[in-house]
Amino acid sequence: MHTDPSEFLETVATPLGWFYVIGGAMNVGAAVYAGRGKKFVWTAVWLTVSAAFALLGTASFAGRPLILPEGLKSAIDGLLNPVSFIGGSFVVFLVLYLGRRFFVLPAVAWTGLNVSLLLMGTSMTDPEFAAIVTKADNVPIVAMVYLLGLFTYLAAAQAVRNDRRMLDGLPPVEEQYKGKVLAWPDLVYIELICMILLTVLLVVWSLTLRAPLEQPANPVVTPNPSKAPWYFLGLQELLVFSDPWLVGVAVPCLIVFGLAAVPYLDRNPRGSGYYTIDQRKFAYLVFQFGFLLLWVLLILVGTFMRGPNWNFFGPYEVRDPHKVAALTNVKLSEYFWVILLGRGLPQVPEGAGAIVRLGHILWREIAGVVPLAVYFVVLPPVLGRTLLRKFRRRMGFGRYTLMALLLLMMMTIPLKIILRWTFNLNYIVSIPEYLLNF
Amino acid sequence: MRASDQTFYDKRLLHLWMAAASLALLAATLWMVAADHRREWKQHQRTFRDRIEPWATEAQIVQERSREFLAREEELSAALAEARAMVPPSELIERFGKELESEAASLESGPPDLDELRRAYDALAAEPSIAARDALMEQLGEFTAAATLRRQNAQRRLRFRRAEFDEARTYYETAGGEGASQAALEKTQAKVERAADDVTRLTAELQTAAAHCDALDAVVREITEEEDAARNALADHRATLDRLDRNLAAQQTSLGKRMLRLPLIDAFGRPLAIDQTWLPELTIDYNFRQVARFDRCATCHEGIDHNAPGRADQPAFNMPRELTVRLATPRQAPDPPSLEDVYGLVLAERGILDPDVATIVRIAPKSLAADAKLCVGDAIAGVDLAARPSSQQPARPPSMSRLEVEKALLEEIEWGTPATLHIRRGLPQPFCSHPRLDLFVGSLSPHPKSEFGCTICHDGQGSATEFKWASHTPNDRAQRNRWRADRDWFRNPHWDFPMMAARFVESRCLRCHHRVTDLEPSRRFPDPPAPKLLAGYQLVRTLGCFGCHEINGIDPSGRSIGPDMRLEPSAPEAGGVPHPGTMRKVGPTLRDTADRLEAPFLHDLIGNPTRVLPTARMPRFYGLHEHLDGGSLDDARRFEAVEIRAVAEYLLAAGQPVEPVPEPAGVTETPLVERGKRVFQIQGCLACHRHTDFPKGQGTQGPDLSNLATKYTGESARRWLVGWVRDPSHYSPRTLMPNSLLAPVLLAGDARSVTDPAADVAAYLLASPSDYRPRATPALVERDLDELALMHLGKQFPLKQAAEYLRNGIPQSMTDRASGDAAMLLGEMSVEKKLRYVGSRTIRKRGCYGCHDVPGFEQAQPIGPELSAWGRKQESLLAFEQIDQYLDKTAAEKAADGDPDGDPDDDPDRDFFTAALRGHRREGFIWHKLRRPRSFDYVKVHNKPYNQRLTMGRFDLNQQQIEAIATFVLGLLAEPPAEKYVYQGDVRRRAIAEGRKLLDKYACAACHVLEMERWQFEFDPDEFFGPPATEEYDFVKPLVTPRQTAASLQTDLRGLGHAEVTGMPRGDATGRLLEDEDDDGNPLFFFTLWEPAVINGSVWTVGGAEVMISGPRVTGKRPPLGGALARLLYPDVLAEARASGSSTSEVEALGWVPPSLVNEGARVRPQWLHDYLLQPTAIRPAAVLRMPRYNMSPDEAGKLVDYFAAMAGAEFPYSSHRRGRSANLAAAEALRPGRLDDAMRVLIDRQTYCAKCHLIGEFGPGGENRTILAPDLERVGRRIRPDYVRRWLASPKSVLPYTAMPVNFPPTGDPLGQDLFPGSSMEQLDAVVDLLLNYDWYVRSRTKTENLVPPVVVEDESTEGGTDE
Repeated sequence: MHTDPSEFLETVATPLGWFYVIGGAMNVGAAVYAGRGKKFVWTAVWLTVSAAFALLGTASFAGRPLILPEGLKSAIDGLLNPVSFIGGSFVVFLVLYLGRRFFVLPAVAWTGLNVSLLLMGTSMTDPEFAAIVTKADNVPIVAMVYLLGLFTYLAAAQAVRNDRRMLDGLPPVEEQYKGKVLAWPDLVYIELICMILLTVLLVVWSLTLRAPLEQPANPVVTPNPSKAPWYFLGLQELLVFSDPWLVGVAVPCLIVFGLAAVPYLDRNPRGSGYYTIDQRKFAYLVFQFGFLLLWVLLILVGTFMRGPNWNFFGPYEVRDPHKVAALTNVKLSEYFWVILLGRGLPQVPEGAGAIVRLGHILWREIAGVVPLAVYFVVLPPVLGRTLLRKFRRRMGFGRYTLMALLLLMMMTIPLKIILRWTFNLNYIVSIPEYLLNF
Repeated sequence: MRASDQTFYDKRLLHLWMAAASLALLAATLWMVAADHRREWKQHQRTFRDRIEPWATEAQIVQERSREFLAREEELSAALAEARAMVPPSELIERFGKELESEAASLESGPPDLDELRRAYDALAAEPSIAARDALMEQLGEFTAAATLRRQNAQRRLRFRRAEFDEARTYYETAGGEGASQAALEKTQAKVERAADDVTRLTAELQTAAAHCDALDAVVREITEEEDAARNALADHRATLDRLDRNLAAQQTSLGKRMLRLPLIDAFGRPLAIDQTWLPELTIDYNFRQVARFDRCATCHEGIDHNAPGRADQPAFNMPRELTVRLATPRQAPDPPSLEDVYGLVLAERGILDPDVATIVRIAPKSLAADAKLCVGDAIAGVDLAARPSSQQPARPPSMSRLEVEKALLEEIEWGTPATLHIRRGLPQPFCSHPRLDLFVGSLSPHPKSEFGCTICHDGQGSATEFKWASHTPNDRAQRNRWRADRDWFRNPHWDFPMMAARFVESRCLRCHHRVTDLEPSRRFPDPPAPKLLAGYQLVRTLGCFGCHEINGIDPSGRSIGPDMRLEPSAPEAGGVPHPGTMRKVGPTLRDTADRLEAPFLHDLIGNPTRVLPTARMPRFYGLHEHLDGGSLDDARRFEAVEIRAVAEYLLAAGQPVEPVPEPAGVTETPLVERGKRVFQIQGCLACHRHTDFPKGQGTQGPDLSNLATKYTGESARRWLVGWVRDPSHYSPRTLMPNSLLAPVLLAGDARSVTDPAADVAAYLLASPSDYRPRATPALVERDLDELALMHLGKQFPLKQAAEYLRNGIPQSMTDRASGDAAMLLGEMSVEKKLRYVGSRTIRKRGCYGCHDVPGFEQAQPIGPELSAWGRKQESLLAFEQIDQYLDKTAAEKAADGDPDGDPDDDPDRDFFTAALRGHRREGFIWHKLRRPRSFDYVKVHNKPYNQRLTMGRFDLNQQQIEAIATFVLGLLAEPPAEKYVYQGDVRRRAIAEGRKLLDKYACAACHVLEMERWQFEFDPDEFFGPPATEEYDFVKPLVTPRQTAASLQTDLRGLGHAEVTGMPRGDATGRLLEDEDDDGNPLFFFTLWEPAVINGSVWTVGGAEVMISGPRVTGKRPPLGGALARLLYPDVLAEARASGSSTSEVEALGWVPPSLVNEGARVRPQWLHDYLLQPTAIRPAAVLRMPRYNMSPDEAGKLVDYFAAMAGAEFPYSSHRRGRSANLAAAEALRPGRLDDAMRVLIDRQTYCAKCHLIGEFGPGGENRTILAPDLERVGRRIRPDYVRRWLASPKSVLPYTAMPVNFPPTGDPLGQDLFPGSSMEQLDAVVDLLLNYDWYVRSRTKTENLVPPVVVEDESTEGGTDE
């Protein structure tokens, strides 16, 4: 759909104005809050920010919202290529984790929110970005980004506070709430109120946003891109990297299995009933890595970065179905046999018996099979002796091995993604004869 | 923690939360209800039902309750009152009394008490009044009531007794079988008899009572006769009004209805409800299945099927439009001035939608307002007064109130000068009615709403009940902006079938009307149903789009899916194809190029056809460089020069020489330009071709021949042209050009000089001066040729090898690998060979064979994408590429040049398409593809090899033509609806539609009139007199139904009648219309009828008087269909005849030019016409030109025959011939012996009868004066239908108004020719008809075959050696 840019701005200007007004109001709230806490510097800061938002809002209402300069947009588009986006996300994750004590400071977090609002508001003047964000389908995803931010922040802030208290020898904050409360009104009444409020939310939502029905499905003309429901977009993203039955069937099963196994693997009582990071660094990191980076981030990639033909697009890039991306990928076996050794791929003899064939296949894929074997067989004991010595000792051989295998399994996914984007590596092990491409 | 009352959270706070949440829920619920109540369609329905409908009904009531109406009502009421006080004659009372007395006597009861009755009568007689009469009637009523009661009692008694009788009898009849005893049976029998006696008695009693009752009633009826009549008259008078009053009462909202419309209650579906049309067979394709269509459009468009009162085909609510009207004013102010008295204008109490707007609610007949053609419902937006200076004139005020209008028209007006009224007519959407109720939506139309719905034609989301979700599509930017601002409109990409923009709405006709020609205007729908679509179809047909883009209308199963415009298969193939195409290639054959064209001309022509031949239809393929720059432009220049040269080389070399047509023997004269010009003018060439010497000729079927000398220069070309004129199909077996049958003729006045008209024509055509000089052909750059050839050959062979082959030729050993065009390069290499190879590749690339018959490309496939389903082609599959940038570039360039063309805002059409193009929509794509076909290659060419560039040529089309073509192509959906919806028509309509295609193909209408002119006019019934009385045979008189007569007497508000006449206005010798002046100084036309007409209650017959029509009273003219050549030739032919001293009348000369074919089907017999079309022969000796011979197949001839018969309503495909039955002839002969012999004497009479003008076989009038020569009568029986012959002889002018044939058998007066055929006119007529129809039989019966056997000469027996035994 092509739209006239000026017309597009007209349609988007007024809602943006309201968006900025809300942003400004939020900052007024923050200023008041800071004032009550006698932090008058911050009151002044937030009032200034609020005034800035008011200015932006006025400009929007006047039909001239602040627009991201084209140069910046293309710079962002260029920056957000797969490698830097995925790699950068890992880095950001690490920075956030390491600097958590800084980032949970209210002023820092609030500044982060303001920046994100500003970025969102200015980005909305881009038709491509706006089209994605305002699509009725994507409302939950946009909401998720902010809600996830909020809850991650909440948990981290409380954990940091507890960690600090415990360093000072104090019990965690939650300690004071130990005991029992009444079902009515402390539980059921609140649930009732929540129920009513949620009903209100649903009614209002249904009145204001139409069900995003599209045209009747046509087997000949599938939507381009065809996207899974938003909560499965992460899995769909994985399809780029491996065979469907592996990442579409085996991996989800393993995720379910792994999650079910967590209570049996992790019997560490620390951190139960209160927020902490310091006491559960490994568990925290593993969970946040798996959830935020391997699940949520991939959903965001699927939503915001994937366009027609499942090509990777920058957030402001025109979703041109005719865009062609140079995606020539090479299998590891080819790297090994053809490029490194300079000879052809070993041929699997036609009409040979199954075992002979399998032998030939394994020989062909030797470059992938061996590292994989090392990864899964050698790495757990090695890790158990070095990095994870503590865990091995505490958990015993069986539980440790299971945990290590699950962990390594999880880590194959980012590894595979990185290998693909950096070395154009198609498959580590490619056995199309048995639909086994990994 | 121990259990305690202490809660963790503050209870008060929780309660506050709870309260707030509950209030929020309440608010959300109220919002929900309000949102439902305020749904768009409910608001529309409320508006329509509360304001529009009652207003319209009230207006009708006001219109009905005119002053005349009220006066008449008063009159009738007075009559009723008078009747109700009438004193009945005393005899009636006496009779009543007597009846009562006689009845009393027969009943032997006491005499009736009649005193009261008599007293009442006396009182009435003394002082007639309604009360007194009512008293009398009451008295009478008492007696009649008593009598009725008695009859009813008698009836009841009889019924009971009869039931008992039936019971007893049935018991008796069945009891025997069931073994009842004899005694029981007898007892029953006695019972039956008793009952039977009673029944007889009671029956008699009832009859007496009934007779008495009837007698009394009869008297009462007689008394009340006048009263009843007056009452009925009043009721009849009020009937319409009563009905309207009832309607209004039903439309006005009662309290109950109001309740049902309250919020929340109105969610239950009454009375505001969704109006849904269910169309189970007009499915929508939901990809996985066909789903029934639900059209809810009428939910908002409630008035869509409302028709104007009494006019089923006129909309009740017009589309909104603004107009200005001049309202005349009287010379002086009447007293007292009121709008109704002065202008006959009544303004409504309130406007329709806006209560304050002055709206006309009634127009008095024959008033000034009626003369100004104002309508009920018109809103007066402004009044311009002559009295007011123009600076004070309101500049289009938004509206005026009632008082303002009254003030302006009654006070400020300057009497005697007209006022200008700005009128807003119609209602805004969604309230208007369909503008073509005669065709659509109306229950009497061919597409009633209940059967077709809306979206099958308009497309759009029929299930939607909100404007923005219905996928409405704006027709231009202004409308789009309005919709966006007012209606939240947006383009919903998720509905695959958005509504067609109004400009394309006709395209959807193609969904069902696959023949296309059935959409041409017809008698039933004289207003063209789909003019734009038909224009598009004709363009596609004449430009030959189907040559490159297949338009297949038949799917593999043989089902019709759309218009079928495929090319004819190459002849040998035709047998194997189940549904072969029928379209002929539009360009000339190129097989004999070398015979007629020379290289320099050919180069110019290929390079830019219209430069050489300004009217050429061939698109331009070369020199389209707007989208190119830098290297791509350089490539184009280099390679195009090579290609042009190569194609010319190929065409000149590859042709197969055609043996020239043999010269006719005996020609003595050399060709002469003047003679040729005359032949060219007269012999019909101008029907299809144009020539600057004859600027009035408008033929478009064939090329313009003015500049033929530029094209054909050499001697071989001249020879070719002579041959071509003589017999075109000799050179091109499938050419559309007919054989004009130009045989050598004797030079007039010289018996020995024989000329060859074909050679003359060729000489004339080649003699036209021409200032065209071919451009100097640039020298061939061999490097470019090699490069281009390598590009082609490199596709087939490895580059290195290809280069080698191009240097030295492909060795013979490679014969089997060098397939296709490469085979040309076998053997020694030469530049010509390379050129031919490249030429052949170019022809293949550009698809020249789509229009031309090119040797070597007999099996080549069309190069363009198929168009059969283009209207549904996915927009994402269209390659818009860099079109935005291209548009920006051209706009910038044009702006820099100061070219206004660059600014699309000034033209809503261009603007629409530009927006569509930028929005990447189909409409935009096709528009620009036709304007700038190569523009989609902009920038892309930088990385495209030369041979992969876009190849479509550019046609010389204007905006309108492009839109027409787009309308047609967008209609190609290949989505036929269910069988029953695909338009078939009855046999006749089908024949007409098929025939029209052939008429177009062979340009029949260029020469012949197919339908006569039609004029509509209005007349003042008091001044319009009927035709003079004429006498006719009964079978000649037209049949007129009383309804037609009544309809012709109807007048409109202005008191004027309307009529339509078919025929031709009388013209003078030059073809100009004759006119006279009427009393008011207006032109007066004389209209010759070709069809009988009923005007002002009287019947005008064909051949009778001409209708005189005053110029200003003509309201509409429909031009004749066809006959341009006839009209073109007529003045010349007549002038020539006059110059040679003949004194023929203007009318007779019409018989010398191509005849009108109106009613042809009723005239000629199908078999004859079929044969004639295939092998025309001369019929009318007087005609100046002959029917040429076309390359028509017998099938096509048959279709044409059917067409004519269907148009005339005659029998087809066969016709019967009852008059030819020998039994009939014998019976007639027995009644009047010798009738055929006598008729023969009439036939061969040269003095006054047939042979005076007609040939009969070899026998004729003698002399060579063609002006009086008439067709040969010998063949009439085979040629003409029997009924027609009879009618023709009886009244020639009633069949063919311009005929010179006299009436030989007058219907009245003494019969003529008693010396030849003694008998009545009717006998003479029938006998001559029988003779003509059975001429062969008659002649045969007069000759004997044995007379033709040569007598046997008996030889000498001895020489023969007799063999008796």
